[in-house]
Amino acid sequence: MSIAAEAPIGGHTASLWRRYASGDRRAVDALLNAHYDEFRRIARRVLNGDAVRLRIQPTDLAHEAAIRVMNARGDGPDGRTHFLALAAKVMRQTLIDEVRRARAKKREMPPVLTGWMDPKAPALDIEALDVALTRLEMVDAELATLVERRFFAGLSIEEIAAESKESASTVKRRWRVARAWLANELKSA
Amino acid sequence: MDVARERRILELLDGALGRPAEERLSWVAANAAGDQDVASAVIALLDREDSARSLLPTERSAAEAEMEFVPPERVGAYRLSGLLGEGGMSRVYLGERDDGLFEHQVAVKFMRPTYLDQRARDLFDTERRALAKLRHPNIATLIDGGIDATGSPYLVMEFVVGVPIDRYVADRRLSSESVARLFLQVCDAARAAHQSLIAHGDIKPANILVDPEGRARLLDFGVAQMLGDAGAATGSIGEGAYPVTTAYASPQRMQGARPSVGDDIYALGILLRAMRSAAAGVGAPVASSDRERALDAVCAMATASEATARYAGVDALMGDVQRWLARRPVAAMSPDWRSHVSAFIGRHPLAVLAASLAVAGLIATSAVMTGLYAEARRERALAENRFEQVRGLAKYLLFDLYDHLDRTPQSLRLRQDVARRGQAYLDNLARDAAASDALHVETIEGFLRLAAVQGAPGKSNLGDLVAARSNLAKSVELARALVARRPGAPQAWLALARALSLASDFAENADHDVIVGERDWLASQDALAKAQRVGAATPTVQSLAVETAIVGASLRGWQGRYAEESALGQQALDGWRALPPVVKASEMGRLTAARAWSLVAEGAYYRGDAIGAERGYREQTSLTDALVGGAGNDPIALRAAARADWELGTTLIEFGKPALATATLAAGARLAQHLIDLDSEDSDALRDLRILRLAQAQALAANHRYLAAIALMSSQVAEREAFARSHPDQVQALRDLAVGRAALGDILASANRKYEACRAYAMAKTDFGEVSRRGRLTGVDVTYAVKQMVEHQHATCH
Repeated sequence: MSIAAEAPIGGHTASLWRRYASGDRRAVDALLNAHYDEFRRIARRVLNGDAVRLRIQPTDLAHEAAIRVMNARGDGPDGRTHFLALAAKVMRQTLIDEVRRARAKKREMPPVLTGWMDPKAPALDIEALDVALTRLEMVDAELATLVERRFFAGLSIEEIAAESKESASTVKRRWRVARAWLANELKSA
Repeated sequence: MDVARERRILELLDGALGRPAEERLSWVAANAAGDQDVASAVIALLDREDSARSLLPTERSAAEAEMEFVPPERVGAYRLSGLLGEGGMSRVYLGERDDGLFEHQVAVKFMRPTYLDQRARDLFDTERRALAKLRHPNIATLIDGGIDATGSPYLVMEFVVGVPIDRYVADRRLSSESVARLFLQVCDAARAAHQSLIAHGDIKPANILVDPEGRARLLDFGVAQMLGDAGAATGSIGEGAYPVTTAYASPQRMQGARPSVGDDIYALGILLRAMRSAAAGVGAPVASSDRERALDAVCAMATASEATARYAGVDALMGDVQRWLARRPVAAMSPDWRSHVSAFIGRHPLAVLAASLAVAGLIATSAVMTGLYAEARRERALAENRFEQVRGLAKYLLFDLYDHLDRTPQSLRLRQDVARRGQAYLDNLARDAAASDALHVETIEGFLRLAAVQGAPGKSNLGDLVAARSNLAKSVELARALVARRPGAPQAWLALARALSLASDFAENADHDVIVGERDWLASQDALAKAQRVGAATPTVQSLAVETAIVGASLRGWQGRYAEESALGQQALDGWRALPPVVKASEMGRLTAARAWSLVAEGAYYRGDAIGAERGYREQTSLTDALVGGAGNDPIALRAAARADWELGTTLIEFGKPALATATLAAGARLAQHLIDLDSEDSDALRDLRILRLAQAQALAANHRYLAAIALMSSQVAEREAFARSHPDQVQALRDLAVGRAALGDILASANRKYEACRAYAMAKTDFGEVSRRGRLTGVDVTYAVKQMVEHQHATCH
C-alpha cells in the first residue's frame, strides 16, 4: 500500500530535496512517496468535473507535477506549503496545456469545465479561470499566489498564515477579496 | 484592463471587508475619493462576495473528503496490495489471493463512497449478480463484490494485464484490417452483454485493455448503469446522474438518459474512429481511399445523432465491419451514396443537364444500384432479425415452454412437437460458422437440453433415444471444438463438462455401457477442473461438481464399486450443502439432494449395510414426499416420490420388514398410477409401475401371501414379455424381462413350486445371456442380479 502518512518537509524530506538538487535522481521517488497523497489530493481537485474528457488520471497528473517540480532547480521549494502550492500550479499548468493541445487538435472541442465534487457547486471553465488568474497576477501577484495556495493546493488559512507570517484574519480577508474579484471576472468573461 | 483602477478596487474591497458589514458601504463611499465608478464597482463586488464563496469553494465537499478513504487491507479472500489506477469515481487496487488455495490476482474497484440506503444496496447486489453472470472471452469477468465496512461499494474483477486499446493500436501501427478485427472483438463482447440485457454505458479506450496475445478485454461492464441506478435509488444523485465520459457519450447519454444499447453503438463508432486515427499516428490523417471512406461511413452510421439512424444492434454493426473486411459493400454506404448523387445534382443542375445524355446510362445504373443496396439492407436487417428470433425461439421452446409442458399432463405430443421444432432451430444455429462463442455455448446447451428432453435416463423424457444420442454427440463435438479454439474460456470448459457428464449418464443408465460411461465421466471431471483453473465462477463449478458426483456415484454403483458409490453420493451431498440456500430450496435442488441420498443408500444396500441403506432411503422419501405434498399433480415430484418408495420398499423387504415394505410399495404404485392417469402415454411411469409391481409381489411373498404374489408377478412377466417383443432394439426391455423372470422364479421357489420356478430361472438365464451377448451386462447384473439368480437356481433346481 503506497498511501504514506502525511510527512512534513523538514528533516528527512529536506535532506532528500538537497540530495535531489545535487543530482541524486533516486531522491525523486522518495520525495514523491513522502507527498504522494497530497499530490493526488491536489490532482483530484484540479481534475474534477469533466476534465476526465482529457483522459488524464489524477495519478498521472500528480506524477507529471512531481517531475516538473523536481526539475525546477535553483528556486526549489523551501517549505511544505510552498512545495504544495508549486505542485498545484504545475498541475494546473499541465492541465491547461492539455486543454489547449486538445483544442488545437479538435477545433470544435467545447470548453472543459471543472466543478467540485459537490454537485450543487456551479461548474467553472478551467481556461477562463486561468485567464482570470493571469489577470489577477498582473494586478496583485500576492493575491494570485494566495489563490494558488488556498484554492488549488487546498491549503488552510492557518497553514498559509504560518508560512507568510501574517495573521489568519488577514489571510482570510485577502482570500475573500481575491475570490470576489475572480468571481466578478469570470462572470463578466 | 486598467491595472491601476483594479488595484484601487482591490484595496478598497480589502478595507471594506475589514470593517463590520453594516459600516462597509459608507466606508467605501468615504474612501473612494470621489471616484464614483470605482466605488460602485467595489459595492457590486461586496454584493456578490457571498455567491463567490460557492463558485470557488475551499471547504472540501463531503464527497471529496470521503474520497480520502483508506481501503481495507483485504476483501474476501484477497489481500489488497497496490493502487492500479484511479478515476473521478473510483480507485482500483490489485488484490492477491492469500488463503493458499491457489494463486490468483484480481482488480478490486472501490466506488466513491456514498451513503447507500437498503434499497440502493439491494439494487447494487442484484445488478452485480447479473453482471457476474456475464461470461465472454472479451469481457473481464466480475468475480465478486459487496459493500465494505465503511460503506464503499466495491467490485472484484478479473485482473487483466494489457494496454489500453488506443495505445495498443498506436504502438503497433496496426493496419486498418487489424484494427477492424480487433474492433470486432470488442463488438462481440458488447453483443454478448446486450443479449443479457446489459449495456456497458462507458465504452472508451481506457476501459478496453489488449493483452500481449492481442485479446481485447472490456472492463467495467454495466458499472455505469449500476452506479447510476444505485444512486438514483438513494436519491443521492438525481435522474440523469449516470457517469458519463463526454467524448464517447451519445447525445441521449449527455442528456442524462440511462445507458442503452444505442449508446454503446454510438460509443463503439467513436471508438473505431479513435482506433483508426491512433493507428494512423498522431496528427496524421487517416488515409482517404474509397476503402477507408467505407469505414468512415460505418463510423458515421454508428454515431448518428438520432439513435434510430444508428445500426439497430451490435450484430448489424459487426456485419458491416465483416463485410468491409471481406471487401464487400457496406450497408452504411448505401444511403450515403444516394445523398452524394443528389448533392451533386443539387449543386450542378446545369452541368448535369448538359451531361445528362452522356451519363444517362450511368445515372440509370446508379438508381438501380441504390435500389439494390436499399433492398439488400432491408433483407439483411430481416435476416438478422430472423436470426435473433430463431435464437430466442429455440431457447424459449427448449427451456421455458418445454418445462411448462413437462408439468402438464397428456402433453406428450406437444412436447414431441416442441422438441422437433427446437431441433430444427438448433440445427440452423449450429450451421452458423461465424457465430460468437456465446452463441456456440448456447447452441451446445440447447443440444444438451434436447438430448435430456428426448431421453435423459431416470427422468421424464420423450423416449427417443436415437435422437437423444445424436444430439448428445453433437453437443460433445461442438464443445470439444470450442475448447480447442478457446482454451482460456471458462464457459467453454463448463459446457464440455456438462456435455460429458450427460454423455456418461446416458452411457451408464440408458446404454449400460460402463466403459464408455467411465471414460466420459473422467473426461467430464477433467473439463470441470480445467474450467475452474481458467477462472469459472465458484458457484457454477460447485453445482456442476455436485451433478457430476451424482453421475459418478451412479456409475460406481453399476460397476459394483459400492463403497465408492456411497462416498461419491456423500461427496455430492457435502457439495450440495455448500450451495446457495435459494438453489437448495428449489425443486431441482431438493431433487438433487434426494438423488444423492439415494446413491449413498444404494451403496450401503449392496454392501449389506441395512441401517445405512434404510436411513438414506428414508431421507430420500421424506424429501420427495414433501415435494409431492407441496406440488399436487407435478409429474416430476410424483415420479421422484414413486421411485423413492420403490427403493425404500425393496430395501425393507431385503432386511426383513416385509409388512412396512408392502405399505411403502403400495404408496409408490399409487403415485405411478397417478402419473399414468394423468398421461397414459407416460412410458417412464409405465416402467416405474412395472418395477413397483414386481417389488410388491416380492413383498407379498415375503409376507407369505404366495398366491397373490404369484398372480401379480405372472402378469408382470407377461407384460414385460410383450414390451420386450415390441421393442427389440431396447436391451433395457430385455433386461427388465430377465429380472422379472428371475423374480417370478424366486416367488415360485419360496412357495415351493419348484418345477415352475426352475423353468422361470432357465428363461431368465437365457435372457441375461442375450443381454450379455449384446455386451450390456453391467457390474450390478454380474455381481448381484445374475449371481443371486444363479445361486437361487442352484439351491432350488439341483
